[in-house]
Amino acid sequence: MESKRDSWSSRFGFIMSTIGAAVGLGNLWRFPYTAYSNGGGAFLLPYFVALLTAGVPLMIMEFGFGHKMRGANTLAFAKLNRKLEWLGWWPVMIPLVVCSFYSVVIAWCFNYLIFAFKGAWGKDPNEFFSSKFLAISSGPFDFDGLRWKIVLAVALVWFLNYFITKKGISNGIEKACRFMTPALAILMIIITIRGITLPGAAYGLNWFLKPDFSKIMNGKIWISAYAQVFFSTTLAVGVMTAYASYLPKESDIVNNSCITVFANASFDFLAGLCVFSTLGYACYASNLPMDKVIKAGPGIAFVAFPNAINLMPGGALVRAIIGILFFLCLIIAGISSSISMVESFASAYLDKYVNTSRDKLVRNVCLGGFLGSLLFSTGAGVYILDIVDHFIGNYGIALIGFIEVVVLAYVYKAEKMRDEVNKYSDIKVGNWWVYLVKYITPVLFGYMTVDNILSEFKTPYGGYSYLALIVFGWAIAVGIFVIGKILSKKPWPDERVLKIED
Amino acid sequence: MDKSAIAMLIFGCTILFGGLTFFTLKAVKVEKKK
Repeated sequence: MESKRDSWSSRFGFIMSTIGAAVGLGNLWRFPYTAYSNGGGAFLLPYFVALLTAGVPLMIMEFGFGHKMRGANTLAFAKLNRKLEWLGWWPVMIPLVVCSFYSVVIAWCFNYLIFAFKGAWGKDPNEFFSSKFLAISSGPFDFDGLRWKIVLAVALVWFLNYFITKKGISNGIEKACRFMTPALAILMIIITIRGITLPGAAYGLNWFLKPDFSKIMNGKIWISAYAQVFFSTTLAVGVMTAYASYLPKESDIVNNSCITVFANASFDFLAGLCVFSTLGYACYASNLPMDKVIKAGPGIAFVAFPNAINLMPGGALVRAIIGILFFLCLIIAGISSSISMVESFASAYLDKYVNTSRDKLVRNVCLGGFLGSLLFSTGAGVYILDIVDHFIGNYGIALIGFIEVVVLAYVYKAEKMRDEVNKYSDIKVGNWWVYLVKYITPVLFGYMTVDNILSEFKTPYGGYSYLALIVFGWAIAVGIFVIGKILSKKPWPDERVLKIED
Repeated sequence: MDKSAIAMLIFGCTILFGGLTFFTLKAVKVEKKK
């Protein structure tokens, strides 16, 4: 069976692909806003602690597990224990759901890339985004038809997902990411340099970096820092396990994990510098305070940034170039992540059903994904996206992260994994790593999960009706778990693949 | 720019970009040996 599996053609290609998977749209708007709303520079301290105590250890764990088992999530967990196969299927269902709305957001970026040529968002980007472009309806059940500009771009995104992923690891994902990840870094550096050289940039950077140490003892900030690191590094969705399963046997797991986590965090930080320096200029040019200029989530990219571009000096051409570069960054970051989501499921499926054609499987996944994306391309799309994202994040990814770390630390045994990952690694992990994954990380994720559940029952999320939360939230979160369970009950066509090799 | 913000900027850059450079150089060294 070994000979049938694809593999990375170089270490560089593997690292570019894992960074491409980890760096996504969230890096560009989630981190800057999270840092801003959690004490600015003071947030960086818990963030760095979270990076070293959760980001790096968990990445080593997922890389190590996929690499040792020579299989994506389903095969890896089935090899560990046939009864745990559901824990392999459940996480790989999540990227499919996430990708269905993630592709819609990339589609917005494609539209905005074209809008940037002429500054089509006009003088009021907020009004343009919500009323003209998305034409947001009155609520989650008021679909109000499809937004065709978005549908066309969504079709393009799914075609790109299909075109890259159908070619497999070395010919598809690796080749694409060898180009996309460095290109993203170069573009980000260019627009950050432009941002920090604008007047008023220092004012914006103060909001991002000036530490408010009175907030540092607040437990919520620490939870936010761990959540940021966890979601940003694409853990617990089967992507990193799948990618590592295609590594050659003699691979440096520890250093590859450190490079991936630090590169992703560097993108986070760079995005913070880029966004806040540019928004600082917007404050300077419009004479408004930061809290009137900044927006949460996608609003940073589609409202606050276009607003800042409108005010930029240098004429229409410079404004168009900055806009194009910015939305190109978002598109590259989005596509390199969305292909990893499709691959997470494809690898998991192909490891079990080895005789299935990759082309056919990926085509079906992308067609299904496209149909799912249509729901988010309606007038109610933004509401549904918000609900699905919340439930998938809190009751999918965070919960899986907790269960996964407990199973790997106690069933697979952290000590055994430490010895495995150290075998070919230049930097060795010691008992500190075992201690972290056995005690600290599960406690943190357990707390996060309980905290999420308690907050859920205190007030309905986002002020939505219970019916909307049940239909688009709970039903999807529970549904993917049930589908994962059902898929795990199907027999393996060839049980010989379940043997662990030395 | 505020002095404490400058300090955090230097601190952040040192840890993140410094850490990334350190691990990357280590990997390059190992790959060159092969």
